[in-house]
Amino acid sequence: MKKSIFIIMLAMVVFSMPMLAQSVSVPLRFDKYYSYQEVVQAVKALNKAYPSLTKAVMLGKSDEGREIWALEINNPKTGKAADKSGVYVDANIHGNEIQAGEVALYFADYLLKNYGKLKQITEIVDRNAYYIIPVVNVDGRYHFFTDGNTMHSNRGLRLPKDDDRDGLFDEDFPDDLDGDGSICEMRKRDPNGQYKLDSEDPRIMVRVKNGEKGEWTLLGNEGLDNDGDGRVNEDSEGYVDPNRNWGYGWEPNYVQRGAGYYPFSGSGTRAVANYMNERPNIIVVYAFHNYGGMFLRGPGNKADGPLNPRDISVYDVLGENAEKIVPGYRYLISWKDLYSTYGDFTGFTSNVIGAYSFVGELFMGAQETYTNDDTKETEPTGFNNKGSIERNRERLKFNDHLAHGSLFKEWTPYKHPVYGDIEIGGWVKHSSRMPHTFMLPDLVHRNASAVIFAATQTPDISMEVFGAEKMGNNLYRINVRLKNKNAIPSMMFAAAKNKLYPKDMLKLSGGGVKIIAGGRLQDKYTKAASYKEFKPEVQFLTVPSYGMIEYTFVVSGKGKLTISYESRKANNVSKQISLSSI
Amino acid sequence: MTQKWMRMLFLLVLLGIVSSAQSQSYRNATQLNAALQQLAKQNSNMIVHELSKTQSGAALLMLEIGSETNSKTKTKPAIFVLGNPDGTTPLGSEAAIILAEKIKTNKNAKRFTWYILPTLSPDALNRYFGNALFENPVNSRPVNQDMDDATDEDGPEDLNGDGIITQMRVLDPQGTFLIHSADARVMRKASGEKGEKGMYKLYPEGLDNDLDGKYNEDPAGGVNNAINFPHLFKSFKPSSGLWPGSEAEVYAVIEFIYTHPEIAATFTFGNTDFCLVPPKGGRKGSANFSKIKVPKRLAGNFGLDPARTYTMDEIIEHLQPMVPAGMELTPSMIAGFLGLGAAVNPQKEDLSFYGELSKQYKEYLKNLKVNTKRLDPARAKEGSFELWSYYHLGVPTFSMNFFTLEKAKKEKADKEGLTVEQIEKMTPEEFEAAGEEKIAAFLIANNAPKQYTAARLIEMVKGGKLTPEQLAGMLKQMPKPKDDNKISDKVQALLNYSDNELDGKGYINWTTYDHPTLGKVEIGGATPFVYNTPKAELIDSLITLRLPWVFTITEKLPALKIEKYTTKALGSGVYELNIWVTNTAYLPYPTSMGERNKQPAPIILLIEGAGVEAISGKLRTPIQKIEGNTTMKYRYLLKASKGGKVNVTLSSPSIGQYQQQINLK
Repeated sequence: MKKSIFIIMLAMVVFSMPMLAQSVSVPLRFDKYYSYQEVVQAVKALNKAYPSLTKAVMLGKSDEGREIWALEINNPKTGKAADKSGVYVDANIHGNEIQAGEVALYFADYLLKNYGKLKQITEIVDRNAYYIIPVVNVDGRYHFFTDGNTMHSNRGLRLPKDDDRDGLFDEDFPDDLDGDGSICEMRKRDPNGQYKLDSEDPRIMVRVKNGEKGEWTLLGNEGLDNDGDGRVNEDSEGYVDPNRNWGYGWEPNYVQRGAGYYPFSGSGTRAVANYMNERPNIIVVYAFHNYGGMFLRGPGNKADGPLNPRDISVYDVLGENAEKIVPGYRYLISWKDLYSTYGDFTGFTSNVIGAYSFVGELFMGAQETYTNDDTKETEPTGFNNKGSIERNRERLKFNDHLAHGSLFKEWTPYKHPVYGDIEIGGWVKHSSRMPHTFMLPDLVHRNASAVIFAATQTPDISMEVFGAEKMGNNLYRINVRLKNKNAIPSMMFAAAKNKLYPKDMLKLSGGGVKIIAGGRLQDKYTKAASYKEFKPEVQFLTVPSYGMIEYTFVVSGKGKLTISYESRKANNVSKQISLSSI
Repeated sequence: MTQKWMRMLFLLVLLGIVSSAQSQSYRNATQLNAALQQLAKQNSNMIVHELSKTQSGAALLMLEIGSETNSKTKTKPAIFVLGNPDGTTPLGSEAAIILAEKIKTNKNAKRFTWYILPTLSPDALNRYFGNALFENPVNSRPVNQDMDDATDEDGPEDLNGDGIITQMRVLDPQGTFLIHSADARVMRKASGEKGEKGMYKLYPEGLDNDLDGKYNEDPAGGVNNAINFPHLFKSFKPSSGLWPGSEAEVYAVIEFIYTHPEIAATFTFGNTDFCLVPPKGGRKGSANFSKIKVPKRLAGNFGLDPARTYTMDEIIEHLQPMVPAGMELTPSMIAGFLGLGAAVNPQKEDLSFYGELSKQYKEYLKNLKVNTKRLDPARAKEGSFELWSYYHLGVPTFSMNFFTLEKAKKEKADKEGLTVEQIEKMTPEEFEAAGEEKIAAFLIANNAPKQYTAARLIEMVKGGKLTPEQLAGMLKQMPKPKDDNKISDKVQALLNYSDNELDGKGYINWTTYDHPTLGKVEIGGATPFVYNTPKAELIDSLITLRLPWVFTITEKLPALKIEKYTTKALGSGVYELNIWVTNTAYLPYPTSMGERNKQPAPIILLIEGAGVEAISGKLRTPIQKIEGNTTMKYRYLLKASKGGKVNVTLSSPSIGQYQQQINLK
């Protein structure tokens, strides 16, 4: 206990030391992966370069005390951020999924760089507010860069858990025996082994057929039996999965591994939830992960029931466009096409924040090609050499001739304290789930463009007063139309149904004016309407996707009438009319 | 200085802020906190922790009692006691304070650290002490309950000035209520089925402050802390909160408990009573253990057929030979392994100890001559602390209700027919002997589904397809029959209590009132809090009577010892060491639910000695489960130098430590 506190304190001291050279400058670079410290510098650098359009916000700290930063983009000349639709982008909630952070940084960099230059970008910057968190799991990203890792490790939160139930916590991590920064695999010559080397590329391990003689044994990931219990690497960091720790539909650890003891047990997830709750204008959420090339929408599990059909049609507009913006990526339903999750982030944001929410699963291994046959469909490759031998040979050639050996560690002899003479080798941590940096610019631009498309579709509400008529002495009929020219309605239909928060309001007021009746107009020709019995001066509504909604009012009196539309997530509009001019 | 202090104390006593642990009256949140502070001041083994603050700024104080208050890490197991979870059972808060006093003099209590939180909802509790008695189990977080343009804008008012928020009845052409023929104070729903038409509308007492046609639909405050816990949490329900643990009070308790693995059991003093009535099952959605499908990916590995269904017993029978000798498969292990989802009903193995302890508690109460013919305690709510403690913490979870109303005496007519309780105890032969006519009458009286005819049921019992006990269990789940001529047990009990004990103040007679928007109304009906909050002079006796049961239960919590050990030299420096570990108490470690959720930490059997190596067995042996009153044997082959000694430590954060030095010879 004391020791771990000491380590945390030490880590905090190390982190608070100023970096000697400011290595990150604007515009940002996307031909490399930024470390955690560089991401923080990038947020600050963007803020420094665009002080009137941005805010850098430290929204909380991780379980090991690292700072979590958000960059907020809003043009104050067009209004306060809170009065505009909020577009939220976060990334790298799994510590190992680092290119996600680059997408978020690119998105910010691109909007700012092109503000005032490209009409479409200028419009969406003026019209929306942006909340961008490039790295949610800051401890994970830090450790992924700093420690020895596989491409899959360091996903979770730094909350100790006794994985092997021996009363000790996180006591048997993998060990980077050769000190190269990657946890690769261990193999040993063994006349009774189950593996042989591929005849064409001896770097590939092939399982022998029944009756065939093997020469090698695979010993698993690089490591030692640190706790001397006869097992190797069985109690590594955590595991609390930060994407299973949110407060909607959460189920405990025995139902779903990685849930944590209770929702928001991670101080980082809790801080992000608070941050979002303080920004109720958020209506679009994109959370970037790797791997597989997918845009996922909810529900996260079957038990949650199908989404509201009218919400689905909104998702479809955004998802079907995203598929085209990023070729090869598929727009899918999380539980049905992938697997069930409980307490995941977008379940929370779509149900509790009330925002249309996507998970972007970045990168497809199939893009790592070494062939001149472009008609051939490249089979997707799993992790850990699990694709076919032929595909593995191609990937290794990609490694040899396009990545120049940087993705695969050649098998190298090592003297292991328990296993004796072994070899360590295999795919390194920067392989398999993320693109080589030469492919990064394409990935970040296309995926950021999917978010930009969503940002063009946030509700854009306008108000028209029409068919005003005098009905007698000081008695008037006034009709109001609210129109939305975009795909995203002013409120999610599910949020309205669940009574998550009060609907938008259409309010009439004015000194000397009395609202006699008011209600939803069903037919503007016959004037059929459903009038609200009490308080006709306040109507509750949502403005639908690509559509409009009409209200009619009967008012008496003299003077000016203010008609205002107030929305939590869409732009507010108001108009004033003079009754005497009718 | 002392003089100044005395003056201060005198002033505080006058203001009623300092009160003793003896309860002559109910205490509000401030007074409860003062009582804790005073206990801590008077007793060197007590300290006060502030867990959190409510939205209104009230401190959520918790008392810690024990010999390790100075140390953050504990070697003793602990008991967490929560009084008055939703703030509407002031008696539960008093019980928590009195318990603190009793712990001082109880010998067995010293085995534990005690964490006592007298209420989880200080804001709700304070409503009991408001200007008008109003029962609403929510904290002071502002919530826009009616989803309009204002928050907390339409609460109740004590219109007739009697100090109680009751109800308003008003004649209305659209009314759906009628005055009960058996007692004009009671309102009942008109039965459309019987061709009745309602006459009255019912509202809570108050004004339509926001003039939206609804009355008192958005009172101050918003979230019920007592249903804000993660087990079976209900999203989007009024007052459940936005997510489990969304409330600072609740999050603080959850966080405290998970950072204190020494907590071995919890007690709740509120409306539920797991000591008397074990936690209920019967929820849908739980894995059906009689029809289990095995997922394809697992089925192949174990020679099971993914296309068919199995019973739990069949699966255990099939898999048992595949596991290491000595390891006994249990249903909860299988359920976790097959991913059958969250448990929503108590584990069968746990219900057996709950059932046995409930029998003993009833016997205990009987011996104290307590009238047990009382209304049933409340069922634990979904999202409650009690359910969370049982299902998520996996610790023995008990609750006590110190007061429910006496049941009204049944009319004679009722006695002639068979009761569910009688059926439950019948043998199949007795059931058959009761005859078709009597059973048919019983089925109608208990609202049995129409397809259950007496003849068919007798046939089923005869054929062994159904036991009378199962039938009784099923009927207990059915909604009570609609008998419009009968006042419900709950209301009748309240009416009797009001008439006999409270001069009618527990159920207010309807009196007319000229309401500004509703016109002529009548105000009256049940007085809040009466059903669970007896007169203050009864506090001590009611609590003192039942409270010793807490110590009876805590004596049954797991306790470990090394029952016996043997050593034998096998030559060449190899020794055989056998250790028998015993749980000397009644309750298992962990509960079956704890075994399923793998939350309670394993017990560790640790062997240490200079240069000692294990050939067979592990120097660090986790013990994942030990039943009550059971001994388990552990065998080691150790390599050690001659005359070597080993230290054997048996330890668990929630049971404690046991050490033994053994000479290898």
